[in-house]
Amino acid sequence: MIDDNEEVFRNQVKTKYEFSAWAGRTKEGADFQVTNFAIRAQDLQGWREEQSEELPATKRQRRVVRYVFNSPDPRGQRLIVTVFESNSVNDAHESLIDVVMTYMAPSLPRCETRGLEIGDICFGSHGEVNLNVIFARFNILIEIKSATPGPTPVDEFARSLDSLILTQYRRTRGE
Amino acid sequence: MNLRKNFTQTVTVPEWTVGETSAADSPAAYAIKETQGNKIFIKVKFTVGSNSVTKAEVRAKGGGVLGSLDPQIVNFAGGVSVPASVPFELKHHSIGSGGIKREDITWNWEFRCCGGSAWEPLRTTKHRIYIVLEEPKLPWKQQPVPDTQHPWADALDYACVWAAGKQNRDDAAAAITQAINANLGLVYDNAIGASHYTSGGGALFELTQFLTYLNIGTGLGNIVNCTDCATITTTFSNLVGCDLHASRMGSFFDLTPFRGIGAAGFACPGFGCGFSYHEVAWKGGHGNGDPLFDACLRVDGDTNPWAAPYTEQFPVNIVFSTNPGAPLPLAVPFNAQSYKERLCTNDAGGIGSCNPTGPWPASSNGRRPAK
Repeated sequence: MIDDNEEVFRNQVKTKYEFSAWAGRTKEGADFQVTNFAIRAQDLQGWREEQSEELPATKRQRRVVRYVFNSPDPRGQRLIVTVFESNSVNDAHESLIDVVMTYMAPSLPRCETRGLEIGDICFGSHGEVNLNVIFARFNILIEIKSATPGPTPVDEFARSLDSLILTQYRRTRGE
Repeated sequence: MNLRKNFTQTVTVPEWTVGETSAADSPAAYAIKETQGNKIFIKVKFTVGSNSVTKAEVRAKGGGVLGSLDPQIVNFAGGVSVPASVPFELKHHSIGSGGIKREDITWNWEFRCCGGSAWEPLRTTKHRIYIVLEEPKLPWKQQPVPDTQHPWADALDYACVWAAGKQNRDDAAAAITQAINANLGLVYDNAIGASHYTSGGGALFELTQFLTYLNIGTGLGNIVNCTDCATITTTFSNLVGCDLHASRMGSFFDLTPFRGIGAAGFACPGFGCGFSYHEVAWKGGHGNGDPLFDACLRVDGDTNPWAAPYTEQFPVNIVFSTNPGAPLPLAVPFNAQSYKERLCTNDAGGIGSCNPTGPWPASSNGRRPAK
């Protein structure tokens, strides 16, 4: 049961993120559902999967998996990637609010304003580059967080994951 | 106390068996409060090679905090002690005198029997002993048996060192808070302020991952937010007998510069001078008058917390607000040891917008189970 204070806070967060402007909308394939989405290291050139673990899902989600990827190159970048396979587009977007509610930053910039055009809705991070990105595409919500401080953006990694989702979509449509 | 090694591994009883040579493989924990004034016994099973031996005298020297064991007659039948587990009273222990402690002890066991008068060496056993203030509080449990939330020896290895020597809960929680803030290489998530060590919608503490970070520097990395700091503080403090819970203040309030965990100096976070919420380890009912412990940041402790120069102060055992209804702005000099006034701007958008809002709904009342 969610009390009034929690609902007030949730609504404040939705306002900050202009939820009503993007909730429930997709750029294409409004009825498409991604199922059994998994990230395989071989699909991500230059990245190695360090670990993956299924996490408890909430009622909005069918499955939540957290991955840790690292890049063997001198950058030594480590990324924590959480994939929320939601029940619907609406649930993916509500899940996005569930997640950003737990961020201490009062709001985040839209990815498009930082040169990153992915997902149906995407938010980046503050600072010179995106060290974190959260985006939803269809019923999939993906959160990418840098595990160590550093100047390397996560944009390319995020684009690769969005491409994996779109590949599944286009394959289903026979393209 | 009932112990386990970590989330997946139990501590088998008896804790020591033949072949174990490392103290860490034979852990045991005692709570000062619950043992005070009570006799404490260990149970020991002996075997003897000859069935003709019916009795022997046994003692153990050394024992560190548990003390030496006085000589005692042990009866045998068929080469096995009778009763099978013989109780030895810890008559010379010093549990409580040194506060919280982790100590590796050695007992040098000796025996004499069969008409001989000289003590002969029997065996040497090594044990890792944890001394905590009182029975650990939630999320840690003693019942049922077994349970993943029995105190973890792998976590006690840190908590008992961070709070070593502390004799009361406030001092222990303060020491643990300061260790988390200053000694673990953790840094604040300046980009978005996200939690890295909670999962399941904030329901669980990823303690196994955090211990991996502490042990080898990986886990889920060294970036944390306030929820992580509050959860780490609560979990490790409650392990040694404190009674804290992670609880929030909010919502959407403006900040005066602070020194974030891992930062070199006072500043606002990279995302700006505001928090959507903040979470700390809180005592009591997380009200205005309840003290809290914040490992995530240090506040300005001087008489003008809203301007430079900054005099850093660990917010440990500090009341949330000593005068929550005071008209704003507050006057300078400001002398109260009051947390939110030292965290927020001196106006309606800061101090006026920062109020206790309670634990996250999914957080088991701010005592997230350890996973």
